[in-house]
Amino acid sequence: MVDIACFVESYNFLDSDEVLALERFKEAAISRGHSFEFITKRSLQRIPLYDALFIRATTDPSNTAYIASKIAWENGLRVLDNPHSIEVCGNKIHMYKLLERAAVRFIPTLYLVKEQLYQKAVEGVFEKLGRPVVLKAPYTSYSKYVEKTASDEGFRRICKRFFRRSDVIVAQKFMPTSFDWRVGVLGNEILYLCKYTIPNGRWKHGTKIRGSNRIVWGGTKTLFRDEVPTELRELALSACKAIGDGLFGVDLKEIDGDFTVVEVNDNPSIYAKYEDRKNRDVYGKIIDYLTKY
Amino acid sequence: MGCPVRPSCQDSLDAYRTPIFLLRASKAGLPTSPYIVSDNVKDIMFEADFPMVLFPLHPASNGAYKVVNSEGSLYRTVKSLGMNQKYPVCAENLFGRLISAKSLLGAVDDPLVTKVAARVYEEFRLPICRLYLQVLGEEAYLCSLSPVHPEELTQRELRVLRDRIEATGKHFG
Repeated sequence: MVDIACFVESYNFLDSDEVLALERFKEAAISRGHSFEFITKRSLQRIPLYDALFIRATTDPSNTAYIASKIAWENGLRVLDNPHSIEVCGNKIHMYKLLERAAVRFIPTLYLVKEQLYQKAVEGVFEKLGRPVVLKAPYTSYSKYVEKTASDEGFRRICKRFFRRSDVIVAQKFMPTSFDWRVGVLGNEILYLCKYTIPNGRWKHGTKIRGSNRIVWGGTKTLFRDEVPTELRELALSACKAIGDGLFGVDLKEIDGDFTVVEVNDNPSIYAKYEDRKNRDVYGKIIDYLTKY
Repeated sequence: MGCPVRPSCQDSLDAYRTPIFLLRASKAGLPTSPYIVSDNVKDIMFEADFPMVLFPLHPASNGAYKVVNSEGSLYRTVKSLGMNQKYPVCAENLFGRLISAKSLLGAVDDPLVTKVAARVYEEFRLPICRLYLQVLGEEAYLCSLSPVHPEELTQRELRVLRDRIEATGKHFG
């Protein structure tokens, strides 16, 4: 029997589909003879008492989830997501550099520093990537701090704002598609397969409504994991292999049958009736991974 | 990828988060203060006695800490250092004299802290940092670590740094 702790924050219980997914994780663990307990930042001290840690709170090196992961790792627990995955996926520049080194195909990308905001450099970016371009601050999640611009002025305005958060930011080629592939990968095997659709009139899966804090999300179409096209499968697995061994959600674009990686996310969302719709065994597979020694 | 970097990203991330710093330091055999990480006043009071010193866990804390002597001040401090309970805090029993020491490539002015500072440098490889310790008798116990901003360095310290780097270029090899 393995004692599993699941690190959560209060916001993990706001969405009924996420709550149901958490319950399904618990059921999967108990049905396999393991214990499964939710812990919060109040009980970080108790982490060494467990055998494995599963993190569902948002991971980022600046969040408490990183501390939980690191405490578990240093105490020899099996942990998802491990500190290395959080560290790499929490910084897009680090992530893209690892993809680059492993020769994984990803969206044409340039790295910008503050000194590159003069006219000639801005024109150079548009020349290389076309208009519009997508700008990303490296420490982002849930499509936050990802913006698109076609004008030099807009480019400078967004860059200046993002440079307040980071010394280096990312500029990428804009590749419009009606959906993004999301491939869930666990221990270098495909876990689930989804198409995250882009809402009408928008260009990314989650778009903040101007002047409000509301985010409009596109739909999710789930496929059986066996339906994954070979090229997509290989690209997603090689992207994860470049980052590490654990649980990842790889976002990819498909244009004219060619696939390219958008990014690799640690701690991918797993909501009941979405990611698990066609692959109900995702919960059991994750529990098995956590309890495998 | 690229060239070797000291300190590594991982070492910097770990060193500035007090519980991870203490965990790694204690695994490396360094004397550390007992601590509890929580956002709950009752849990903290169950584990630690007054006076206690609290270190924040949020990454922008920049070496802030508070000594508390009562339940009321503990409640307020957990709330303020934890950014309205968004983050937990690291609470440590204050059983000795709380001191801080600037470490430059593992060297400090205070002879009580010399050995500990050198070993912290071996473990984390942070060239410049501030160590927080509590001293009881002849023994210094690590409490936390924070960054040192360039403006906090005196001319003498800059000279010491330059001399040491010139003498042992291997620190950055």
